[in-house]
Formats: sequence, C-alpha cells, structure tokens
Amino acid sequence: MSEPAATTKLRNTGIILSVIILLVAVSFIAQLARAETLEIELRIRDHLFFPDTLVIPANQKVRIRIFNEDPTPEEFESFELNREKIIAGNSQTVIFIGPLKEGEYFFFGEFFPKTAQGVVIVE
Amino acid sequence: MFLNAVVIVLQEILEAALILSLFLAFVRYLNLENNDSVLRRRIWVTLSIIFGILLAWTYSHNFSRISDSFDYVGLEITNASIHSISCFFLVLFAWLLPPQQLIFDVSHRLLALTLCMGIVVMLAILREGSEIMQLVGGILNQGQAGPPIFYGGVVGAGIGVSIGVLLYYALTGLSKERSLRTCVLLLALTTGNMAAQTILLLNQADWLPFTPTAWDTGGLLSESSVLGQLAYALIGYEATPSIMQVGAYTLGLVIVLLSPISRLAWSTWHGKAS
Repeated sequence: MSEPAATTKLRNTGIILSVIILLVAVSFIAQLARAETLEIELRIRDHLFFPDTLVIPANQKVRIRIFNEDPTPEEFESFELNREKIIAGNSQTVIFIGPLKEGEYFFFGEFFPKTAQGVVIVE
Repeated sequence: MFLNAVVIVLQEILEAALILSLFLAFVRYLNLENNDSVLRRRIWVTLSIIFGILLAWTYSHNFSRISDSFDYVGLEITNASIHSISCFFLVLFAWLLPPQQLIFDVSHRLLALTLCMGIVVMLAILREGSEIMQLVGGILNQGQAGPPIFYGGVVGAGIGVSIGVLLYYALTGLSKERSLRTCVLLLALTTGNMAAQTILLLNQADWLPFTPTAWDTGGLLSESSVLGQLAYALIGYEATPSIMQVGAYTLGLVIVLLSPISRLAWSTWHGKAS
C-alpha cells in the first residue's frame, strides 16, 4: 500500500458521502414523481377483471391498484406493458405503468388466462 | 387448469434448470483443468437446492407481508435485490474463472467459484420456487382442481429439467475451447438478463424513472409465442425493452465478456497489495 492512510480515509469518506447524496436525491425525485401519479382501480372477482377495459391518458404515469377478491392467487401479466406480478388471494397490490403512447395494451391473469383478460386503452 | 400448471411450472423451473446446467458445464471444465478438485464432490448442488427450497418456503410463507411492504411494491424490491445479488456473484464468478488470476491459490479459487455458483443457484431456486409455491400452493389450498394442477406441475417440472439436461449435454459435447467460450457467452447473457430484470422491477415499483422503449421486435418474435418464451427464459428476450433495460443488459454482458482481462486486473491489484 503506497497511499497514505489519510488519503485512503478521505477517499472512502468521499465515496460513502456521494452514495448517500445519490440515494437521497433519487428518493426525493421518486417522491416528486409519485405525487403527480394518476391512480385507477382494478378488481379480480371469479377469475375476471373488473373493469376489463381501463382507459388512461397518453404520456401519463398510472398507478393501478389491484384488489384480488378471489381466495385464489392470480398473476397480472402483460407482454405489451412488460408487467408481471403475483397477487395473493384476498389482498391488494400496486403496479405502475406508463407513461405510454396511444394504443391498446392487453393483459391477462396467468393462472386463469381463459377468463381473466383485459385491455388498457391509452388515448 | 392442467395446461396452465404445465406452462407456469415449466417457465419457472426452466430458468433455474438452465443456470444449474450452465454451472455444471463449467464444473466439468474446471475439473478437467484441476484433477484434485473440491468440485468433484457435488455436495454444493444438493446444498444450494435444499437452502433454495427452504428460502423459497420462507418467502412464500411471508408472501403477503412482503407484498404489502414498501407501499405495496415489496415484491418488486425483494426480487430486484435477489436479482442484483445474483448479478454480483455471476460477475465475480466470471472474473475468478481465468486460471491465471493471482489473488487466490488454486484450492481457494475453486472454493470461491463454488460459493458463487451455490449462491446463484440457491437464489434462482428461491425466486422461481417461491412463485411456484405461491401460485400452485395457493390454488391447491382452495381445494380447486387439485390433481390436474399437481400432475400439470410434475409434467412442467419434468420438461424443464429435461431441457436443462439437454443443454448440459449440448454444452459438454463441444470441444473444450468451444464449450468454454459458449459457457462464458451464456453466462454473460444470463448476467445481462438479470441486470435488465432488476431495472424492470424497479421501474414497475416506480423506484426508477421511466425511460422510453428502445425498440419493438414484437412483429419479428412475439413474446407470447413458444419460441419467444424460450428466448425469454434462456436470454431474457423482451420484445419492447426500455432504454434503461437495454443499458443494464449491455453493461452486464460486457462486464462478463471482459472477464478474460481479469488476469491483468488481478495481477495489477496483486502487485499493489504486496
């Protein structure tokens, strides 16, 4: 080790400080972004989505709050939205989507794909 | 129900099986290189599977609590953490792989490599196993369609393991040099995939800002097609990845592909340390 101990210590403190500042900044930005998010509700009942059509504005981030009212778990999945999340039976969860361009984005419940189907329409 | 269970269990098992096959192919290479090896005893495979299943059981037992944490994005945060830890150990594995690196002697190096593999396999089983337990177990508990799901799961697991075995023999059937090169490439793709998955999960949780879609290859290869699903399991294929996902994937890929230069890096470090 050719570096003096003081230099090493200074460098390490610098690294730790910048990591902390970075984390604080990122969480601050995340908080700001959260404030302007639109929220919509989606319910799962008898392996069906209610409503099965969600209309949302383009270029806007949306928080989908999903309530699974069935006793069985379900997996919200969408190839178009790149989303995948398990929701236990009789519970709720949150999935963020967007900002999206205009169009139709299909989603389904992976465990009951025949019945649990829906679409997000962005306009 | 039967077919659903086959598909779901197959998807989950496949990812873990492919990682394990890849590592076993590496082990074969490492054994060729070191005759007297700790790797000859494959106890690490058994141990990582057992610990993986135990962790998966714990995860799935606390599923609701984890899911509700962090304002209902606890699953994303937990899974992103698991993915990034896997990424770290995959990179470490790649950088310890070249035999010329000088930081450890042979037996310590093999021990470190074994540890990396064990942790990555354990975490893969934790991830995939907990999803299987949650989905299949949750439905079985309701007493709905028990037998079809159980048999579907067994068939899905059987197909997944078979594909893993086929991959292993495909990899080890090649000549030594080509086998190693293919393994490193697959390792790089796996690492890139996990890095991209981490980003995707943090996006889904709104912990990372949105970035636009980089491209759309959905017309070329649909994610819902059988080939698309296989490509997803093997190399993390996404038809519409975001720019940040592509960035993370590329970073993971490049760091692993650059691992042969670790000889230089390690020796420089070694030179400094002594």
